[in-house]
Amino acid sequence: MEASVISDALGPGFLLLLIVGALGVFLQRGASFFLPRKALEWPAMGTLNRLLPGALILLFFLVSWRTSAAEGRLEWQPWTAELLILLAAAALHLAFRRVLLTIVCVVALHFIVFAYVLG
Amino acid sequence: MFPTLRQALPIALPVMIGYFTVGATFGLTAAEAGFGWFWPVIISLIQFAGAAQFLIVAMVSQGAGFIDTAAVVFLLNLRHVFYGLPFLAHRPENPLARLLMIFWLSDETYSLLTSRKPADPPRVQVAVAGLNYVSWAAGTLVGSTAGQLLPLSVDSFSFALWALFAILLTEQLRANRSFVPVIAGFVGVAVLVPLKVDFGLGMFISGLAATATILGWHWLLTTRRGRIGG
Repeated sequence: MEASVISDALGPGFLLLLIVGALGVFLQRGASFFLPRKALEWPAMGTLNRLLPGALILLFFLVSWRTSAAEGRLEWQPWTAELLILLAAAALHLAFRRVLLTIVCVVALHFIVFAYVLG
Repeated sequence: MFPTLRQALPIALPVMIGYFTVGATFGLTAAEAGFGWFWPVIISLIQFAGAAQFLIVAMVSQGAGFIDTAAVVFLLNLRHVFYGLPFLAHRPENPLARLLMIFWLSDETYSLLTSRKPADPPRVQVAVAGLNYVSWAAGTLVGSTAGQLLPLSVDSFSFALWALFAILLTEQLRANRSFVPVIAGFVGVAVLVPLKVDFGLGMFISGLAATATILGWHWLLTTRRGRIGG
């Protein structure tokens, strides 16, 4: 999607999404103020709290790749290169624990690979 | 007010610096994804929800519908349900301060305030949370403006969002030392194989499947512990 198209397509509907989303976050953050304590101490909620965010982030990658492949938009060579760069990002983050540094290195690496190696 | 801010500033400063840089990264990546300079700031001011903000940008720029995006963001933010608990004993009496504390309670503010022993007075806690919120929004403004002004329109910069998700995933796996999220993720996407769905609906369906997998794993674990214990 073209950059300007996204910005132009956003309007009152998107603002409503943000407000509804913010209300949802507000209710979730304030749950201990609004909900009975017994409901919050349900052990399964603790497990979801720990493990669900990681699963959803992984799903972002997997679902994106799956839908691109189903629509015939996934090209294997660039995909493999990007997957390797993402693994390098994970390794860099584990080594240095500096988010901004990792992102700058990854963007530079992506630029070099796509401009000069894959052409 | 100023003495409270003076007291809160040194407590909040480490998180403020981090928030400013990540907020700037958000502004920059959102601007590069085509959100302009205005929307990223509005997202930060209204949502103030870290990873969920990046997910909103990523999902909308992939063409996901607003309802699908809201549903996935709701699932991602489920963890916030637990944040208020440690503050029950020290919650502000003032209703406005209480509302602000709920709105500003983020992962890092939660970690920072719960690690302080003895706990800071409620007015200082609210000020710390507010300073963190302001630095997040200010970082977003700087990042999104830079994204508009600098000639950064290359595909590689859009890739920053993917890199950030890779970092967040690494951090989640490292912190929890569990491969259950990976298994749940693959189960979630496996559910989609026979279906013909777009990205937004796919995220929602596979998110539900991943939630069911984690709940199933929890049930198995507690049943086994019950057998060993009983």
